[in-house]
Amino acid sequence: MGEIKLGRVDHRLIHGQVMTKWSKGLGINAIFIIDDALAKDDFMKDIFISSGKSAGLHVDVFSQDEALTFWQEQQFGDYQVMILFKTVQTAYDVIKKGLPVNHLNLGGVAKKTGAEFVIPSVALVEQEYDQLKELAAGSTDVFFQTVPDTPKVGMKEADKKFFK
Amino acid sequence: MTKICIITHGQFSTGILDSVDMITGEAAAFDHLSLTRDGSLDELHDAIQGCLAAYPNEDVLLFVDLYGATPFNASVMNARDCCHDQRQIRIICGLNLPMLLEASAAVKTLPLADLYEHLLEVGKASIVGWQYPAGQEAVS
Repeated sequence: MGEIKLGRVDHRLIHGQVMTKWSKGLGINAIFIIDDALAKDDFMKDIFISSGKSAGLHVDVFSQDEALTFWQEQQFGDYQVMILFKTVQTAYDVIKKGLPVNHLNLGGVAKKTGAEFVIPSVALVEQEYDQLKELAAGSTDVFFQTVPDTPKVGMKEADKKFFK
Repeated sequence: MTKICIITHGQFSTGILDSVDMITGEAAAFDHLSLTRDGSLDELHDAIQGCLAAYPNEDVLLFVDLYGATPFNASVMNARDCCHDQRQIRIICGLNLPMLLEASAAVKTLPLADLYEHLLEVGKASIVGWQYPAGQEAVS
């Protein structure tokens, strides 16, 4: 049975930080990207898959439905997985639909209008904060961290920004 | 003549051009772009697009610092966007100074396809280990 070691929200998906830092030390052998738009883009899928190979990792790209089906029917095979999401919304949706992500790392969320920075690489709008609050109230440990060498910041820091 | 654009994490792109200038005495007329700490893939994609649009009829060589990282991903997306152009776009990852020094001279004479092959060779051959007393040992 496979295992989801970590979920990460990062708008850049697979890139330098993920390949050089996060791919090591977690005991993972695969990175799954869950993104409906990318799952339909064979060209970019191939790019991400081949760059993962250079780090010795199996990379695959799934739509939300494909990922949920793969988990429900085969528990991701034997893969020890880090899952990448482009947006908080996608992470929220698949976790609410039953994907067991016990640790959710917020690593890269670009600034939008009205967003508040929690760490320098993550700026949330209120709706995203509310979604993360809801996940954190369930069985997901939500934390903010750009790379493993930087300090881990918990939901409390985000609470301060959105204190009403 | 082939146009060259350098795309890196942070200020590497401006720094390495300064190094070329220091050695050759002439500032190479290369474009350069930096991914900033809070920059997104989409922003960098658009910046490269702007750079390519300035030379609609010229072949372009894109140098990036790290294979699989955002400057590379944004470059690949642009190469696809231009796949129906008459001109060609090629990408070289793992930019180093010997490669760029050679590029600044060779770009004046070689067409893109030859330049690309030549610079890949130069880049690899430039990585050399040395230890005392055994002396020089080519790594690649």
